[in-house]
Amino acid sequence: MPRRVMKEILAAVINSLADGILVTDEQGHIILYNQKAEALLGIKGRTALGEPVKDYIKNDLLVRLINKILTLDLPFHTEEICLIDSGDSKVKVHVCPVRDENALLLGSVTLIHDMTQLSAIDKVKSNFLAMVSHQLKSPLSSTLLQTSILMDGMVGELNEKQRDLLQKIKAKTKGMTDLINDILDVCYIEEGGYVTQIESLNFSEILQRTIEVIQPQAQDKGITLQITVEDHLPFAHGNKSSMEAMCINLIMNAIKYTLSGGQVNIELSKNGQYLRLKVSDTGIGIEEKDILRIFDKFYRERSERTKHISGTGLGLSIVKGVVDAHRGSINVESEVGKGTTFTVLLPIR
Amino acid sequence: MGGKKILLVDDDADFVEATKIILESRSYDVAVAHDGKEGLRKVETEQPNLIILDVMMPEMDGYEVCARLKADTKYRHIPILLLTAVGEAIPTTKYTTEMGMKTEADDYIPKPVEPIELVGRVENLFRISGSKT
Repeated sequence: MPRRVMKEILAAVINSLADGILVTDEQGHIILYNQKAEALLGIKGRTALGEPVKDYIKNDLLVRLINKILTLDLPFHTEEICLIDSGDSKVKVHVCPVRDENALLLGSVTLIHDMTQLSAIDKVKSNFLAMVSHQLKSPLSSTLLQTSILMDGMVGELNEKQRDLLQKIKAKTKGMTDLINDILDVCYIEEGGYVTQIESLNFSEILQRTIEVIQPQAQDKGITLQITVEDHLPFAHGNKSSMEAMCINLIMNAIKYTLSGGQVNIELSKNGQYLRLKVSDTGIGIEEKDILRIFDKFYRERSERTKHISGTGLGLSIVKGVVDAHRGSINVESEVGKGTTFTVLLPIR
Repeated sequence: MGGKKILLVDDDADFVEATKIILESRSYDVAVAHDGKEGLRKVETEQPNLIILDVMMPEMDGYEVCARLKADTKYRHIPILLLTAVGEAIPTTKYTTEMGMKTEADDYIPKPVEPIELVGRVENLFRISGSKT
């Protein structure tokens, strides 16, 4: 095909793409973009060509990603994916290095995908889950209040047997509420709901907040929480809510399976290209034969030593779900009667 | 410093009955409404000193009632406690009540709520608004 026609065809193709495309040279000057990119990123007209990308893209995060791809000598197939706000729309950006056959860095290419429609679908889904949550939890809240009223003697004195039965009703009802919360967590993670809400995370802050929430319960049980966080930790990419869920479930588990007076150590550090979260306890430990099963949904050890421990059996499956969703890994080490250590590795992107 | 009348707005009749019993046992006067529209009518007729609003109700939800009241100079001073059975984005259900933070409610609690917690928040709100007058 004659070169001139090919060039026109390519130009037409690029301008017809459903996604925006933005190409820079190795120094970050804009050398190519299409109409969609213009619309989604607000690049102004032809004068953008040849200019440094930071002068034309209003979004700092994207500019930083492009700079990162250009300056760090990352291996061939690296990409940075992020969700950014661009005016009224939410867009997903894919930034990749452009290399020639000799792997020499020529520049960067960014694909920009409009997520506004997907976000709408997501809203419908999360509305459904919200409705389900409300429909199930509201009646339970009333029931809990009604049992509290009865148990406090507000509508008449109770005999011991009545009080005892009510206590059991209350415990079961509370258990159902916890179960609903956990099931919703699992649904959310399994539906990949997290995908559209990825951001840069300050993990140390997330951990701090988790500890604040859990501290009173640890204190009630007489368990010491020992926290060590390394300085200057890099930010990780991920979904904030599910990371919070992961932390809470890991630490609550450690507390639940540790006897009063015991200790739970929480360490957050950098380990090569990963963030490492280590949660170890001086608790009852897990038997060899059970270790493979602890991440199964609803699996709980049912024995003399655990029968008084309440729980839905979903906590660790939520943890594993979150770890998998972020392409991390989780390791367990345990000795019966001595304690257990969970080590989570999350890639820093 | 004014009376202690609470308007309770929630479409769950059992919740309303139980909460009324709890609040009356602490000597509060309690008026009730079962949806947003009735709630707004009762604010006018009952002139409450505090409003407890459930978020998810038919006709008009708690957020809208709250927004309307806060936009009205006659009623914006009345403290509003928002009850949220669910966060906007699961799985924040267990841990936060994010949506509540975006409205102008004076406080918010997730359901299920312990009676002690509810009473504590109500007393707190009365204390805060009392010190403003």
